[in-house]
Amino acid sequence: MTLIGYLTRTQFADGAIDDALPEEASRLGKALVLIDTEPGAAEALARVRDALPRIRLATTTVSAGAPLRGEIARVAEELKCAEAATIIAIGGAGAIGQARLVADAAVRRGGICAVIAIPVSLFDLGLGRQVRPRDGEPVSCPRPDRVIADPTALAHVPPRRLAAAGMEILVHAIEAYASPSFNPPADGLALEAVRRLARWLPLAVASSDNAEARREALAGALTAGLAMEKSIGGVDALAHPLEDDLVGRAMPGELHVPVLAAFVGFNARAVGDRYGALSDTMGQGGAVTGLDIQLAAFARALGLPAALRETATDPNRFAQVAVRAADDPSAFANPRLLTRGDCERILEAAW
Amino acid sequence: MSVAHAVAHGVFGRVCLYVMDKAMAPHAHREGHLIFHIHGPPAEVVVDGRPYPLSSGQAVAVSPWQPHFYRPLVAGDNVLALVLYIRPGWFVHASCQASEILRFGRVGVEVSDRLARLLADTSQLLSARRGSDGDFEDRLSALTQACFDQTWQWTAEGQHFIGRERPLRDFRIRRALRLLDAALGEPVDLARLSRAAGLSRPHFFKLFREQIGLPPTIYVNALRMERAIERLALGKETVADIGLDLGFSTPASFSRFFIANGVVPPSTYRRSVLTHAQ
Repeated sequence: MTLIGYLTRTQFADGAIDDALPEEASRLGKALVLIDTEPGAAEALARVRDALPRIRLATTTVSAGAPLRGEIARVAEELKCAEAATIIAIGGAGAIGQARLVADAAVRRGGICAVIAIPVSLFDLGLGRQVRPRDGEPVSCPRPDRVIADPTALAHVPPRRLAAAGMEILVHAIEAYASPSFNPPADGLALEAVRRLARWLPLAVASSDNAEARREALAGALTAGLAMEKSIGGVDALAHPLEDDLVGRAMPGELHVPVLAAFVGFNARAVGDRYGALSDTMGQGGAVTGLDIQLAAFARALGLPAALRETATDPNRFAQVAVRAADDPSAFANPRLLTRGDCERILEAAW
Repeated sequence: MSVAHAVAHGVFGRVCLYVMDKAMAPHAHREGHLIFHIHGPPAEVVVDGRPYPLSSGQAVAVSPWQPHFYRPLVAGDNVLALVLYIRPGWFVHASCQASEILRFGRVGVEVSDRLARLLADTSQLLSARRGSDGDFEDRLSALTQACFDQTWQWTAEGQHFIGRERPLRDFRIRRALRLLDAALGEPVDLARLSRAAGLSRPHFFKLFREQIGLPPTIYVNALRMERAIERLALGKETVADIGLDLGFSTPASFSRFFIANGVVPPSTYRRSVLTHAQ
């Protein structure tokens, strides 16, 4: 069992749900379980119930993917009905992001709401500075009070879904390192996240019973989440509107690589030698090609698209997507000033 | 005469909606400064001796203690502007630079669609006298953050970064700053101040400029403005008393000073803050 104390209290181990959760939740009488529809969330909930037999648990469900501002009031009401001040969030960015939004709203009203996060997918584990709701602007939210990172909870994630989710968090780690804002500890964490994910994600995807690979991939996501104390750049601004067009026809995260690869050329002069350091880290020291080419090859090896034309994306929509992207708050976090025209050119380069 | 439509004071600093009608005197302050054009003909803001456009597409970002002043391009034309004085402490979480808190990467800010929307929301909330609720602070925070981030984004057209590293402050200048702060309200005798700092007068001026980025006279003016604004907002003393206390021999000289450094006369400023707080 490893206790990681950066930014919040994280218990990281195989079986942490069964062994660490009872200790972390021992003082609770009641709690609201907020679960999303990620594969493996239901299984994790059963384990949570077994681990906490003496705690009264009410349950509510939200959809997987990004959380919704529109759901805050409903979940807060459920919390009140359950007479609880703690949310145990089980799932991916949907459940854990939603719990953080509810906690943030409670704190703003002068109340309290603790969050215990139990991730069952690869994402920032709720550790990034901001939560990005589907129906509104990113919000700086308190981090979960406890994170129970149990790699065995990833066992039920289908390989392709794991690949796309892992790719998205890898892209964010790359953006965190490339961002020009000054935060040396976060830089160190970002590079380590890239190293771990580049090495272990392909192995975790290739074989669902490789426990070591899933553990290392989850450790990579945790490290990337910690690095997201730094702001991340424009990839979300372009990838999310594209994904919204392809609901049900693309895995969340699978459009991030084509978009990032196109951003590499665009940002190169603003980022300086940081892309070189990332390229060395991804290639484990033996890189001879550029970061964009490496990323494309990495995506292909995972069975993911390396260009937008390999997806169901409609190029006739580029102009509209560019309008939305240039207007997106995360466009401001890009190292280089990003205009509507730039967004269109990046999309064309990603095609 | 210039008019203050609305003024809000808060943990963020100050936000003012001003009608500006004439050029101001060069001045500086410890807050970060964002100036947005809302209505009227284009004008300009001179920052560190260089003019920057103030128009519907162009805003101006001034870092703490950077000398600057507003200047109309057409005399007599009124410009409605939203002016933010951002407290560096409030903004501390968003700083991109380790050397200093709230330092803008460059002066010119391009008002994109998103910025224009944030700007409209902020001015609307302010003029509807709703500046005290959480909504307003959220808008303000988003607006400041977006401008700050943009000024650090790389552009192919060149940087105009401020760039200058702030030197470690000399102990003699630190002593002079303490003396200035303690003796505010008394006539400033720069010769005596230089002696107290242990420097000759020309050397003192040169070192002060190098280290603080502006001449001691402008620094003293900034301190006086700070005190004046603080006491005007409290609303307990008369305007004339505040002026006298800060070393102005007549209410008219205090008024002239306040207009040159802060757009509107002190009585108008007090009325707008008070109306707003009610």
